[in-house]
Amino acid sequence: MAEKSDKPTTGALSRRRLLAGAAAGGAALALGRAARADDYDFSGNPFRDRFQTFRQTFRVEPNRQEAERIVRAIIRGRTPIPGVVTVIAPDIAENGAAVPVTIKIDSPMTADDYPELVHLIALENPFPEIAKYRFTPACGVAEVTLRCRMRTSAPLVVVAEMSTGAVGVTERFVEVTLGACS
Amino acid sequence: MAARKDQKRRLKIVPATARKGDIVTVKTLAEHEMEPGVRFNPETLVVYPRFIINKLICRYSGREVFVADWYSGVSANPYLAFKLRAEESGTVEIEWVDDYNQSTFARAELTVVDAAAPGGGDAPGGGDDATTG
Amino acid sequence: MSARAVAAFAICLLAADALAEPARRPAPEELLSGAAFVRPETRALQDDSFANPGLIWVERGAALWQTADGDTGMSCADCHGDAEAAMKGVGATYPKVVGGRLLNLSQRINQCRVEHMAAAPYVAAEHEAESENLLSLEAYVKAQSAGMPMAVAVDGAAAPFFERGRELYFQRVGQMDLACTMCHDDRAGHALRAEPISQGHVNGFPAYILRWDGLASAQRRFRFCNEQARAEPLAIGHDDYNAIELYVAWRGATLPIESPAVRR
Repeated sequence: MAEKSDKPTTGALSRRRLLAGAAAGGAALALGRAARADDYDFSGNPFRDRFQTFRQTFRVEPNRQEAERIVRAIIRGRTPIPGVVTVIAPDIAENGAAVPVTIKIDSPMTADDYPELVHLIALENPFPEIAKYRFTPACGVAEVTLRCRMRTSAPLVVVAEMSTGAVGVTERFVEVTLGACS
Repeated sequence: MAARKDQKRRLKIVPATARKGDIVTVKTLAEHEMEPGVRFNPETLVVYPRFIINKLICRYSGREVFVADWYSGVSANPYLAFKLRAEESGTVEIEWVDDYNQSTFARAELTVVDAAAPGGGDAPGGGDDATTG
Repeated sequence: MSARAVAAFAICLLAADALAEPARRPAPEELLSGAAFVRPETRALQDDSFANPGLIWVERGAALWQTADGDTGMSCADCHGDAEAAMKGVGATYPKVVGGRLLNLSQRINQCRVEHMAAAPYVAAEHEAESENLLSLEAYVKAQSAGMPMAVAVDGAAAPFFERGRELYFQRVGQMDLACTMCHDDRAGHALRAEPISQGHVNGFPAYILRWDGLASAQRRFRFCNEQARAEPLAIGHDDYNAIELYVAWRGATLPIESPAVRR
């Protein structure tokens, strides 16, 4: 089975095919509005993600170019505003299984201007997208703290899409070392 | 495969009693192996299928205020902390949804006192960890 | 030489070897818990009373303490009462000799279940390394001694087990021909690849081990150490591991119990 099949085969995924086709045709009108990042599933091939075949034996490897393509696709040509997103993560992670990360977004958190969708991506993970966070103005402050997995030393990229259509991007390199006894 | 029934969910609001307009921190912790779907049995080389919590929804007094979509890169026993502006006294409910659409919940009370009242008196609040499991 | 003379000579050699080992445990002021060898974020996670993942097991242990089980239909609480009072300081004394056998805390819990609750002992499920329920109870009981210094007895009935533990601690094993002392005494603080070597104390166990995404006992950690030295790991609960655990607990006496710690 090909690792990167571009053919969604189940009915639930045909909408993705339609959107992809519409975008390729230059008009993303299937929804009656401009397509947004969260219409797409950037976690890779959803068939590979969710429906593990009974005897899958191939190893999923990270693909840096694919991860960077995902980041570019989320940003979609917009010019990122600097200084909006802060990522706090250790320089060297104790263990790749639990890397503590704090994401802070500088935003007025009003009904007109708040971070609608914040992506966390690790560029050297087999599935680069780690999480997506959807804030509302009721949050008061756009800040999350989590623990994520990283397979190897890589940049952590946070892309914050604001409700105004603006985007903020920040990157932080985290070293994930091979442990003593691994 | 669904999650074991006794897997814990923890929720804590810090502080549990706040003045109107203050920012409180909501801390959540779920017990879940978060099998990423890339690990494999070294003898048979069969990959353990993915099984994670893929969504966390926070509702404050019934309104959805924060949603997190998770993928396999989130650590096992996932921890998530975020902020909330204290508006009215109400229940903060966290829902964890896993790959099989099974939901688990944790609820805690947030008590909001009037900004004008100094100290707020002896307001009862959900000061302890609200844990279910 | 007669067979008896040869045997006597060999025994003398062995005894001399044992006596020649210096008691190389760190001086009390040099004792450093494993927490001193982890990164600040990990230390902060261990100290966090909400986010420490090991507390999940402590909570489950608290629930199990109240749960009736076995033919007697009794729970731990029915005999012992409130764990905070009854189990205070108890975790710090294990491993210890009970009825002529050296038992660590989890074995003692299982023995209690069999003898006093007429319940089946907790055993690990097929795909698991250890029983989650047993780890939970062990973590809960150990947590009642949090902050108290480790204080195992090594004299009297425990003396032969202590000697066996010391012998094993200095014994070179595996394809890499390593003894515990070579890393944890001689090279503590040095880097093994990218990790600093700790002094190898057990005051934090059962600990949440980041590489296993779960709580683990000291003996599961011993197994891992053996595997890394390319030695044959023993089963958890083996007499040799009990003896090593006793020796290592003695070695770290006065270190405060930090269970559930967070370790790599």
